[in-house]
Amino acid sequence: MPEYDYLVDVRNLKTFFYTEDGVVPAVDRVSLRIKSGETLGVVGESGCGKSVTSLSIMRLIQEPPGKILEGEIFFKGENLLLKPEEEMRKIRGGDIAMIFQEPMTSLNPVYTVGDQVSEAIILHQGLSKKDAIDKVVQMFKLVGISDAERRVNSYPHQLSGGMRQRVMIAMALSCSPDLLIADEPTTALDVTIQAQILELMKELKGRLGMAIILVTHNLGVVAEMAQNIMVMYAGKVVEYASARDIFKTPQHPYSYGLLYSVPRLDRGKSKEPLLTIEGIVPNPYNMPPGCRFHPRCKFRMDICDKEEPPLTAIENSERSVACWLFIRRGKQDFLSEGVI
Amino acid sequence: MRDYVIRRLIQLVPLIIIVSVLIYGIIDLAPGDPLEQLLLDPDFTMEDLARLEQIYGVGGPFPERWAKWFWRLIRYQDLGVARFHPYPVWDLIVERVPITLRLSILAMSVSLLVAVPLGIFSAKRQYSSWDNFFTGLAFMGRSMPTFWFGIMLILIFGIYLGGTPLELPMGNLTSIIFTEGVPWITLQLDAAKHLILPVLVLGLAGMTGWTRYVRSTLLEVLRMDYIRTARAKGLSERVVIWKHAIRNVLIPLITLVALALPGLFAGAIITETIFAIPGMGRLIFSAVISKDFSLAVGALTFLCFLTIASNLLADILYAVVDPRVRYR
Repeated sequence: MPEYDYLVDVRNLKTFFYTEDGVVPAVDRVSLRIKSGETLGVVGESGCGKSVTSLSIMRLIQEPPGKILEGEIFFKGENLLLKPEEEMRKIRGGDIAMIFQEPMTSLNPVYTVGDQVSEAIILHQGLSKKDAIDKVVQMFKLVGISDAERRVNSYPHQLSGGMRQRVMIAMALSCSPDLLIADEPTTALDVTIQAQILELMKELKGRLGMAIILVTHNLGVVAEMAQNIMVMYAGKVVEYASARDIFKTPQHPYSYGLLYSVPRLDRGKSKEPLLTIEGIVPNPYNMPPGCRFHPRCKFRMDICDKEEPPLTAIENSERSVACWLFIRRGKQDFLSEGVI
Repeated sequence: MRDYVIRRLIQLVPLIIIVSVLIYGIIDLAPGDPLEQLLLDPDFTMEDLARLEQIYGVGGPFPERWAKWFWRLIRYQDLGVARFHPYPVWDLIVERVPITLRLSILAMSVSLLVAVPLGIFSAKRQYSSWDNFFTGLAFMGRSMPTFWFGIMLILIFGIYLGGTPLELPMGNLTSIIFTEGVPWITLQLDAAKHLILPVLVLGLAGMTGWTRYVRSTLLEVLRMDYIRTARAKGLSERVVIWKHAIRNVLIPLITLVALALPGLFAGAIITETIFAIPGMGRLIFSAVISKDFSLAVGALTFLCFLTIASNLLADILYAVVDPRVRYR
């Protein structure tokens, strides 16, 4: 057995961006843990820090303007933030691989897909060019690219969006990573292709057994794939729970709003309108004091704009929530209270 | 790829005809007539004029004159006779082109050799003091008039450094002191020394402009998603830049560089005048100043053909480096 409990253990990660217009606290004291083979869903609106969190783990934050200020990122028990760039490069694409949101622009237009996928294999596994291409063909077959032998010689523009995302997945999985970070892997694809790609990821996860961080704003996606879900808002973790718990009894008003703003089949033929979270995401240059969600919160109390609620564990569970309402009154049941 | 080139070549035919009509027409519109000045000679009669008009095919309505001129050009490579040189225009151009071409290609190569590494260097250290230094230098070079830069170089390397080993010979293509039996290498060295300053002057614009271009394009490319993908694969920064980024920077640069060739020929007018080099630039300049009709039309036609050829070259190179164009 390995000498670590969690494959990934991020503690108090703080990544800020220093721009001409001011400082953006994109990720502010975020912690997360993933065991080997687990899937963690990271959910939130655009700009809440989901992508920056995943790029921080890869240490791919552009510096400047970005900077990882504080925190620790333990991967297999070793702090990635202390590693020299050279060792980090061995981890990138090898132990930790990443799939991005935009399959249309994530591949270099001037090289064949075979060349681009084989690059990682040659680098991390030391295969010859020819063996690497054979491996690429294998990987292409694995991810369901038909006519794989011919497709390795295709240029990205000759492939459809779904095919390109399959190429990206093949690239990410080609070196059998222990952790796959999928940053909105299906957002740019149309619905049928989305379903195919998710099905593929699920199947491959079962077969290869890697852990996944699935970054998305699509709740349906995480419901199907993730064991645990982390809800982020404006650079902060607001709630952390198992997928079951969060869908049944969300504890943070934001998670609740997020969940009930999408139509669900299991809620029957309700005639009631969907819930909306009023207001807009705060200006990142000027975050509200106290709880960052308070200007939009229906349950706002006096303390909310004065002091920031700490992420508090819920007794007898792995859940935690950062909300004064919970701290003051204990577990909420928004559903039966019927607050809409 | 072959079909692509053939298609492009066929497209050139109407273009060449239109361009030659325009050039012939513009020079034709200029006041004066190629033979008119001969009338200043008291021994020259109107009968002589009619006879010469017949010989040169310059009389008659414009379409007829143009058609005759164009036919002679493509059938016999005959562009007429230059008035102030006792030679056919064609021969004059053929003799001068290699000189300017060598100068231009050298200037272009030097520009690229400076611009690409310097642009990359600056982009990798955006806003550093080195970057700022080269930015300042580039703007200075860009704003400096070519003739002034040339004169300053002559002053420094011809006069201030005169007598030192750094002195460079000025004017023409070679020194004229050589007699028989001088070793080949000495001759080459002498020719090379004569080229240093003209190449620098002619290449200055490209050097400064392209450095900025490479810098800004690379910065743009480095923000692309596929660069992030390349980094996420664990590739080293060297491979990311020299494999994944540089090719995408070169694609737009190729157009720029290929299209600069005619511009260099035009720019050579100043450089060749300053350094007294008998190239195309000076030929065109003297033809226009002295109203040498045949020579001006011939030389301008050549420049236009060069532009068209550069365009074609750019398109073909584009297809070579960019697979998206290749397969269309």
